[in-house]
Amino acid sequence: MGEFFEFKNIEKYYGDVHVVKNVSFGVRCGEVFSLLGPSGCGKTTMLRIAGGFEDPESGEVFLDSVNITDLAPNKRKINTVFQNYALFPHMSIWDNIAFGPRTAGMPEDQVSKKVEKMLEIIRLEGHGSRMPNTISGGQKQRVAIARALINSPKLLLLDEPLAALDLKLRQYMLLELDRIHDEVGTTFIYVTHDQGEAMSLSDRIAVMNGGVIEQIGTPAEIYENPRTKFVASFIGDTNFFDGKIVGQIDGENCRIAMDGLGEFPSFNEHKLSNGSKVTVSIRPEKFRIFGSRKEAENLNAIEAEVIDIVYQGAQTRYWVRVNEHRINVLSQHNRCYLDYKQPTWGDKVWVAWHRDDVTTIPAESPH
Amino acid sequence: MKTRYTSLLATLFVMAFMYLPIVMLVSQSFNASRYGGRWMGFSLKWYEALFRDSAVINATLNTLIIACVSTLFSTAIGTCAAWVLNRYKQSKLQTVHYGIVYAPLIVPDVLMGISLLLMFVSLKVQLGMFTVILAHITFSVSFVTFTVLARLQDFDFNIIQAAQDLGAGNLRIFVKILLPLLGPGIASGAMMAFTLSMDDFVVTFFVGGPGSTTLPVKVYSMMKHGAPAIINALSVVFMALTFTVAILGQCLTKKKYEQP
Repeated sequence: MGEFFEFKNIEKYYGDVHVVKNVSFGVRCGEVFSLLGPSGCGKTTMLRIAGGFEDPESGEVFLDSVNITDLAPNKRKINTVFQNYALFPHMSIWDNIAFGPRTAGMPEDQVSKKVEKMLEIIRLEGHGSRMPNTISGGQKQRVAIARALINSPKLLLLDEPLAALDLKLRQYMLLELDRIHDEVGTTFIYVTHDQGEAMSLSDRIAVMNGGVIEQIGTPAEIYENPRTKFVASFIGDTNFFDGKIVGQIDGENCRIAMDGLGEFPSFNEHKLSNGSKVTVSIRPEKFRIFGSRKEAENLNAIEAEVIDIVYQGAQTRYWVRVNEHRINVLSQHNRCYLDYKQPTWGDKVWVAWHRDDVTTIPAESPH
Repeated sequence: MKTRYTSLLATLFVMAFMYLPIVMLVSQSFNASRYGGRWMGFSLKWYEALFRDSAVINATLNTLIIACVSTLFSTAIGTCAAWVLNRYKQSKLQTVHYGIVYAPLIVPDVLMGISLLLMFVSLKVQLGMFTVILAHITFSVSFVTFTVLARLQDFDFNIIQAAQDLGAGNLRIFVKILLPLLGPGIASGAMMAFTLSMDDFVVTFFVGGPGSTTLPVKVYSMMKHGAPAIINALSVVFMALTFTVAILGQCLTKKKYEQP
C-alpha cells in the first residue's frame, strides 16, 4: 500500500555520531502519527529531515508519491510548529499568521478572510493586533499552529509543541490539538518524549531509541504488546522477570521458568522454542491481589509479602516481595476502598495474573 | 529624608562634575570679551566670525565626509564580522578572530596612530583624506562588530527557519525578518562609528595630511594661533553636531518590541 508520507532507508550522521540508522516508515493520510522516544533518540532529526532542514546522508523522503528528498523547506507543502514557537517578535499575531499567504502572493482581501478563519479555529478572535510578547505560552502555541496551518499543508510537523507549557495548560492544549486536528483533518507528525501526550493524541506511535524504530503501532498495541524490553519500559510501568522456556503447552502457550518465581504457563506470542532465554513483562495493573490461593482460580499465582502501600485515590499501588523480586502491583478501586478489608503491611497475600496478560520478549532483542 | 538629600546631593555633584565645563564653554562662547573670563555682555560675534572663516567650513565638511564614508564601510565590515563570529562560535578560528577584533578596543589611540602612520609612510601612501578614512574604518570596525554581535546573540535563529518553512525565499527573509530585527542593532553600531569618527583627534592627527583637517584637529590648531573666543564658538557648534547625531541615533534605534 502506498503511504501518504514515507521515509525510505534514512541514514543521518552528526560528525561521527550515527543518529538515524536506516529508518523507514510511512504515515497515512489524515492520521496523527507520533514519534516517541527519549532525548537524543533521533526523533527530532527525523522531523527536521521531513521539514527539509536537514539532509539525510542517504535514503529518500516521499510526500504523496513525490520524491521530495532534495526539495528546499520553502518548496515543500509541509509546515512546522517549532518547539519554542518561533513567532516573529516584530509582527502582530495577525501578521504572523498572514506571513505564509502573503509570501505566496495572495491578495490582501483573501489573506484577511483566511486569517480570520484561523483565528476562529484557534479561538483567538479579536487578538490579532496583539504582539507575541504580550500573550501567554498557550496562546503563542496556538498562533504558531495557526501560522503553520494557514498554508493548508499536506503535512504538519509538530516538534514537542507542549514541552514549554505547564501541566494544566499541557492537558488543555492536548484537547485543543485534538480538536484542531478534527477540524482541519491535516496529517500530523508529532514528536514528543512524553508517552502520555503520544498515547492520548495519536492514531499510531513509532517508538524510537538510539536512532532506530523499536516498534510502530496503535497506542494500545504498543502498550499491551511491546515488542522489545525498551518499549515495555518506556511506555508505562512494568515488572520484568528473566526466565527460560522449558516446555510447550499448545501452539499458543508455553511454560516459562521465571527466575525467583517458579514455573508458569505463559502466552508465547513470538513462538519461541524451548530453551530460549526470555524476559517476561507484566504490567502492574495486570496483577490482582487475593487473600488465599483458592480465590485465584485458573490464574497464575504466587505467595508474596506486602512491603509498601501507596493509596492514590482511584487506585492503590502495592509493592510486594517474592524472594528477591519487588513486584509493583496496581489495584483499581471498583468499590469503596473503606468498605472492604484491604491488605496491610507485612500481610501474606497471593499475587495472581492471567497467562495471556504477560508479554514474553526474547532476551536477545532484535536490536 | 536624610537619604533623599544625600542622593540628591550626589546627583548634583556628578552633574556639576560632568556638565559644568560644558556650561562654561557655552556661556563663554556668547561672551563679548575676547579672552573670556569677565562677562562683557551677550554677543553672537564669535559665531559670525566663525561662519565667515572658510577654513572652519572646510573642516566641518571634511569631518562629515570622513565620518560618513568610514561609517559606511566599517558598518558593512563590522556586521559581516559579527555575523561570522556568531554563526561559527564553536570554531577555534573564530576564537582567534574574536581576539583580533577585540584588540583595537584596548590598544591606546597613540599606538594606533603611530602604527598607522608608519604603515602609510612605508607604503608611500600620500597622507590626506584617504588615509584618515582608512584609519577611522580601522578603529570603528571593532565597535560596530561588538554592538551588532550583542544583538545577534539574542536573536532567535529558529524564526529564520520558521520563515523558510512558511515559503519565504532568501530575499523575503532578509527584507521581512532580518532587516527589521537586526536593523536597529546595525544602526546603533553605525551611529557609534559615526560619533567615534567625528570625535577622533589622536589618530587623525597622526595620519592626516594637507587638506584633511577635521574639526577636532582644527580646534587644536586654533588653540595655538586663533582668537580663544572663536574656539569656544567652534566647540559649541561641534558639540551640538555630535549631540544631534547621538540623540538622533537613540531615537532611531530604540527597540519597539521585546524579544520573547
